[in-house]
Amino acid sequence: MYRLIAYLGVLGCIIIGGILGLFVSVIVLATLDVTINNLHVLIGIALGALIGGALAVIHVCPYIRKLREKKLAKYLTSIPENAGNLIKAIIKQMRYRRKVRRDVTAELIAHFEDALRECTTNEEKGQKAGELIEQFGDAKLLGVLLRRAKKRCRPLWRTVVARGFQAVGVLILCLAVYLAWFLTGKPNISVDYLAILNQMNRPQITDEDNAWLHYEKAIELYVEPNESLERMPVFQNYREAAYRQFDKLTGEEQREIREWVEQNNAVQEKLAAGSLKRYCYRESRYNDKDEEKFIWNIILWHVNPLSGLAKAGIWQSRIHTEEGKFQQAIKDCLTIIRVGRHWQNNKAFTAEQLFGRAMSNLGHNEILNILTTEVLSAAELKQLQQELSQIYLDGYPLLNANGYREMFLDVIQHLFTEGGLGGGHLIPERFMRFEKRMTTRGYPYKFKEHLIIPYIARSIVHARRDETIAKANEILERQTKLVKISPYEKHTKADVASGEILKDLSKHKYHLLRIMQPLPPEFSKLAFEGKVLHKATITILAILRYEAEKGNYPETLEDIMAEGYLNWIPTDPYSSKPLIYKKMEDDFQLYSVGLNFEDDGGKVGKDRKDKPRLWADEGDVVFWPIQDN
Amino acid sequence: MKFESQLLKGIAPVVVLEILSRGQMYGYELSQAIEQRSDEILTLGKGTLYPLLYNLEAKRLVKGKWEEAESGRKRRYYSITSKGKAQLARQKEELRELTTGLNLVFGGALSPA
Repeated sequence: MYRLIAYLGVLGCIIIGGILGLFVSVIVLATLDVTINNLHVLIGIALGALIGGALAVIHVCPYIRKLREKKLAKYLTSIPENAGNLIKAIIKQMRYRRKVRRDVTAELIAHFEDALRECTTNEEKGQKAGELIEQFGDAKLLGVLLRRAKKRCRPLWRTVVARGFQAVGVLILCLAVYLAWFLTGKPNISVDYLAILNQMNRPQITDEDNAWLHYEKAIELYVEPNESLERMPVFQNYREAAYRQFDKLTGEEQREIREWVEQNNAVQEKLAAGSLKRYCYRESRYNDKDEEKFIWNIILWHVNPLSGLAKAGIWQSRIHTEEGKFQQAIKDCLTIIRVGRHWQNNKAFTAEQLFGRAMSNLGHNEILNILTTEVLSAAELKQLQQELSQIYLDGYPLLNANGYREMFLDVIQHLFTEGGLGGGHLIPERFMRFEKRMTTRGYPYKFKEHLIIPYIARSIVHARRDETIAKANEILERQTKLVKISPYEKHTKADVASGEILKDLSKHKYHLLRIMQPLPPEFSKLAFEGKVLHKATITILAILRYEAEKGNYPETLEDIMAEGYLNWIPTDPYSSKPLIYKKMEDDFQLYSVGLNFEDDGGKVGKDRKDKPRLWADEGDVVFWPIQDN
Repeated sequence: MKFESQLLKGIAPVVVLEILSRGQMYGYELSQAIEQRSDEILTLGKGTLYPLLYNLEAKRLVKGKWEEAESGRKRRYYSITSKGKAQLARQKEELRELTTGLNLVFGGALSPA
């Protein structure tokens, strides 16, 4: 009974210690102004419980010992004190199971009782007991011998259970030591990967040739649309066919848009001046507010205002078209494409490259819109074709993964320890913080702060630093090759199926690689789609020029090549054949077989709402005539 | 003395098994029996007796159980098992051969007069 009370006492102290640990840790962390997370609180509770438990054991142990001695003394009343002391010493030294100790005590007491049975006086008993004690020899040695002998007596199952418990105990101890070491790991930030990225991105040009100085000024001057304008459907869905012609908008819509475009006139001039520069180099910097210099935390703040500027440029082009200033309208579009090209050439951030491609597509589509509504002369078409061709004189850029490698290595140095087995391990606390940040940035992973144990477990099973880097290098090397392969080649050659690389990765071992998604296959597909849009736009200009000069459309694409209107034939990335050209009665059709890799006879693809969509899953991608896409 | 102690240590298990083969006994009774039957030549130290008994028990040569003695007190009685009996027979034979060998070496000087 006294044992049960003692155990309950210890348990109570552990619980109280844990609760106190919780409060103390929160107060201390708040005083030190440290971010309080689950891991901190858990460590506080564990420390509190440990101290509470230790204090309880320190106080309860002597109490239990006293009770035990009291109980033993009751049995020893039948033999002289010196014999009792010997038995106590032997039993103390035995340190074995309670039941066994009790049995041995009883047997030794019985031995003394039997030996002293014939003694009549206490003195005689004491003397005889002294002799017996001598015969028993060293109490310590006897205790050890008895323990060993009794241990041999226990049945096999008990030995197995005892060894099992010992093994579990050792394992728990090892695990606790390992966890303490694992959880307290610190990263070693030794390389400034941002400096490497900037160095990699920096061209050998003077500031005069750098477009960023103009773009930076344009961003400073940029006037954001007011709330009323932002709420307008026409403003939100400005790419839709219904809103392309400015004169078809309501008076209110026209007025508000015109006003906003006029507010940004000076900005557009800066943008146009920048777009004509050879290169755009923007030195990336860490966020001033961040204590930790981590590339992943860098916010590409310039992308949003630049998108706004592109939007203003498109509206300006539409206003110019409405005013009959076609040359000016086309210039607006060319500016947007040139700005896009600048960011497409950026080697540092994939996001910037994708943003550049989106801007370029916007400009191309708007040129095609203008060509649909306005008739340009052969000379104007020729000039436009030349200007457009010169923008991508070095070829349309596909995705560049060079910067991603440095970025990933920066993530590794922030999230892993350095050195030791496997080159270092994933630090749970850093890993959680990183995943939380990923979630806030819209990655499709739900961060669950309360699931601290799974995060620790996942950190333990995650591949070590060297292995993670090796796997990332392997993937990036493969994907760097894959981004140069067209969707059709990927579709037809099973050995280059790109999407499988990430899917095949172990869910837990390479979790970090899976969530970071180095260059998903969709990215390279987008680059090919941008490239074919550019080629198709130039081809359409050449066909229209042919018609303007010869009075009829060419029979085949080869005809425009033969007549010198074009010196190449656009290749369809979804068939690896030329884009399909069809001459019609008073028009023509130019299309790609599209994402289903099949020629649907020029049938326009549609989205889920049954609206024409350029890059739909089914149907063809019709570049001309322009659809309501 | 050391030699005697080593000799006794070697033959103690056989002696205990032999005594127990004649009937079950508790610890004190067994130590007394050894002394009496050996005419007090063999004296098993008490510090040796109980570890020895527990070791024999671990080897399943003897088994112990708590029983009430004639005096009404509880005692742990040890009795020889069938395995113990077989072991005893084997060791007795070995001991006999050893004695014969020793007698031959000492020219019969070890035989009781």
